[in-house]
Amino acid sequence: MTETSPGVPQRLPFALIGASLVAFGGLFVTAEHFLGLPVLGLMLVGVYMTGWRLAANRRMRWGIRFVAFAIIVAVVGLPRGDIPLWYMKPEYTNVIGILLAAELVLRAWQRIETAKWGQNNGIILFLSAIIITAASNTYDRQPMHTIIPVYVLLVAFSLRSIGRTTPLSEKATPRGKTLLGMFALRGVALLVAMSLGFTVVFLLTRYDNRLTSWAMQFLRQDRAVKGSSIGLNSAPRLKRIFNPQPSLERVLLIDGSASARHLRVMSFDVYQNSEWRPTATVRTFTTASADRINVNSSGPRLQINRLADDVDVLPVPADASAVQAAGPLDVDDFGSLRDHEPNRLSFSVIVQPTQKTIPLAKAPDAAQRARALFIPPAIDPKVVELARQIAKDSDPAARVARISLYLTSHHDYSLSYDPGSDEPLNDFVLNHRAAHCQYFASAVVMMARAVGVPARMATGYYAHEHFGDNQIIVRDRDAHAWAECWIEGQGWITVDAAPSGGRPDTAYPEASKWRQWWEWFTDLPGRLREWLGEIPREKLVGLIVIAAGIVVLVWVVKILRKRRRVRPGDVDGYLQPSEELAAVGRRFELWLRRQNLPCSPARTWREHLASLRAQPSQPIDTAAPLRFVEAYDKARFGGIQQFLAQLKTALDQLETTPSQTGSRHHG
Amino acid sequence: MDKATDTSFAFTLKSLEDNLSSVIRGKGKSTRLLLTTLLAGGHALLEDVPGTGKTTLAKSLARSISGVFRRVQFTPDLLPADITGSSFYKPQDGSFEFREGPVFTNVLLADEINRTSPRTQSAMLEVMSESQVTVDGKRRDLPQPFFVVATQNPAEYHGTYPLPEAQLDRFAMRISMGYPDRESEIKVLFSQQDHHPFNDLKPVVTCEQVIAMQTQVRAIRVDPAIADYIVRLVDSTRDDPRLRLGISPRGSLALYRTAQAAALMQARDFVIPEDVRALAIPVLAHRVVADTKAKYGGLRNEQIIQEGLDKIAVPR
Repeated sequence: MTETSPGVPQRLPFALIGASLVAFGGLFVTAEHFLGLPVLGLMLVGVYMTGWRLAANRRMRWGIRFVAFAIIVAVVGLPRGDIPLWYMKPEYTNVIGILLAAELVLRAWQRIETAKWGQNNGIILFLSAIIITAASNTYDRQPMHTIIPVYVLLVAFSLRSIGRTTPLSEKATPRGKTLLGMFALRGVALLVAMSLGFTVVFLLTRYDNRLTSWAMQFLRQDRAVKGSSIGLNSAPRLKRIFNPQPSLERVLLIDGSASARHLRVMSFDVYQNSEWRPTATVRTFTTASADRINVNSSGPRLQINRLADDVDVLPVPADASAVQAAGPLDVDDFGSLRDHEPNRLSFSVIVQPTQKTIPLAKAPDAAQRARALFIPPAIDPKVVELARQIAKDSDPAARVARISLYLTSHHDYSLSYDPGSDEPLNDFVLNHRAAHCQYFASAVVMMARAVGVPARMATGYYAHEHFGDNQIIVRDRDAHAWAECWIEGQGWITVDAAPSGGRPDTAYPEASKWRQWWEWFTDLPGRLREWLGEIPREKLVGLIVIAAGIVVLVWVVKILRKRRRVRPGDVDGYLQPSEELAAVGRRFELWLRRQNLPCSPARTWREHLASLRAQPSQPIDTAAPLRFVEAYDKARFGGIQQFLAQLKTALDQLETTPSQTGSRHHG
Repeated sequence: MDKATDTSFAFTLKSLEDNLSSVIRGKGKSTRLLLTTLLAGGHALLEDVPGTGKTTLAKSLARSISGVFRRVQFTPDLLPADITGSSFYKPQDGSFEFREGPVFTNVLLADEINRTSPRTQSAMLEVMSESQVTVDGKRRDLPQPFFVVATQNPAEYHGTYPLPEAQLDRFAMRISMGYPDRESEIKVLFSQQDHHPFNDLKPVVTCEQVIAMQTQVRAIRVDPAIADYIVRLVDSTRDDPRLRLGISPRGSLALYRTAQAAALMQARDFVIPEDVRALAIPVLAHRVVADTKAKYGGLRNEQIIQEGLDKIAVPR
């Protein structure tokens, strides 16, 4: 009998080597004939040439592994281009396959305890299966049609010997039914594993496009585009219905909560043919200086995320004193802002919640003032007359307040309004009609102008839906219109005369909590991306270096602690006096196992032998092993090691007399 | 170890064991455990139903040692001063004289220890762990060797005060006697035909010999792996969810020392895992406290220790 100590080099089953070589070949064909693969194949064959094996040193193995992987990556190179990392492109699977091929060769060369040979064979088979799978992921599948059957055939051949734990020189003794059972079991397991692998590859190639588009949704959020039907930035027109299709589509997501409810998009000062002008397209936007948008002011900061392309003008809270974006911004005379980069998703503002005026809107010059006071001829003089009757006050702010109060208290809100053929504003004001927010806003503007207060119409959103403590959701249905009046000595103020029933918060039902949470959930990938995007590259590299440092440190500490506590060759973590003695103990353990009398780790050998001797059915003569155990204990626990040689001879004798306790085998 | 002393110890121990087994028949295991406790310098708690020979065993051991033996019958009205001793006024010269209590002895038999009040039980704490008595603020050392053998009856609850955990922990071992087998019991019947064999006992070992053996016990080699095994056994009880109280370091120390003593009993100069395994239940079982749920679920302390023995890997 050959020796069975863990030092015996493992010879892999021929069929397994063959299967692995075929897998290498398949990969070689598909991976652009990478020359490293034949080299790896030769190294695999080399296992047969020599009995030398890599020592059972974990650190050394990892070192070799690391070096080998680094060389492969350096030679092959990682695929470049815009292929996303998550996707199973052949360029990637090929690299993975080559790395695994190196791993396989390393496993074939390492010194392994006899008891773990079966496990190692299994791992090698598994690796070869992954390599062949990686090879099958290719643009040119023709060669694989011949390679795969050969591979499967060799794998089937290797099944018989894969669990073998004896050196190849020994004849495997067939044990009848159990062997057949194991064979069938392994075959089924292998078939299941391979079919699973090929199913995955098949699904990936079959549903390539769908997967790509699905993944793209996570990588690049496609923003819903809704036409500017409401006219927030074109020309608000007094129509029958305002915002005819109010949807729950989210437009903005505001991080932060302290802010004015009115989010200004644009304001207009010319009223003509029931329409407000000028439209955004005819306005002149100029690059805003840092001064103009007060970049340096301080106050609560809100981050405004644009989720839909409703408007290209930035919706800014009325009390915002500063706007900050990643790039330069454009501003017009009305204080409306536009981003140079229309696709930018977010910007931040600094708000002054105590401020009543609109800090970003500048004082009107003479021409603007004239326009803001101009009452178009279409407006009935009675409207002007009415306004002057209502607002008899010296203070312009009070005049505006009276007009607002009058409209709020004398008019009802209605989502729809039948304008008729005449000027709709006249009809609305004089006949106390019910209408929507645009009418209220326009009426405030005209009546304020009638009492000498410069006024203009503003459009935007009415933000009211809080989510959690620190978020506000603005939806499409929150579109709103109101008026802005210039109060001398104060500035532009927001005047919203719409009755409380007419604001978006009460006009439409609230969005359900369920919907809010669902939206929050769908935002997660975007938020993560944003968070990652915010980290500067140097910082990212620094973080990675620090993380790697921590990992290495933990590793080193672990090794040091292990070194201090446990010497090599430990069994169950107990300190062993010497590696030699530990090897003797392992040999005895192995002998017991090969006698088919394995000892539980929670029992001592003596107890185990005693129980064997006391077996009522088949008492076993345990005198010889007991003598060995006595001697071993003396060396192990008594610290008397000079008899180590005798111990070894006793063990040799034990091992060479197989019938000592062997009555079980034949019984 | 010196071989000569080794054999003499073996001889002494053998005669001691023979002496005891001539009186207590068929209880070799309990006898050996009691001797192990003595060698380890610990104290033993004999626990079993009445009439199984607890007191006889303790008395026999005491008589086999040529030292002072005292016996205290623990009763509910016993006071701490009754065991430790107290100071008396001497009218002759107006001074106080300390009169030693029964604890000033080599072997103390604390009979039915759970029949006395916790107050008196507590007086035993210092006595047992430190082998000293502090009365009137003065520390007095007890004679050496000092060995307490307590007995208690677990079946009876009327008029008893269960020993507190602190007190239990101070016993190195809790030894159950159990009924003798039929053959031994027949021998017991005949042996007491005309007189009790106890009366024939002669001291076979001197106090000095006991002390020497106790010193020798400490020189027994314990491999680090054995100590590791002891700690693993003890540690497994500390995070057991079924236990209210795990085993204290005093417990691991007791297991360590008694394993050394057991090795000496077998004339071995090193401890093997079997020593530890054989002693784990007598040394550890009385130290754990199962929580109420486990206790009423029928969990016995011995069972917990046995689970540890069946589960934890043995050093090889």
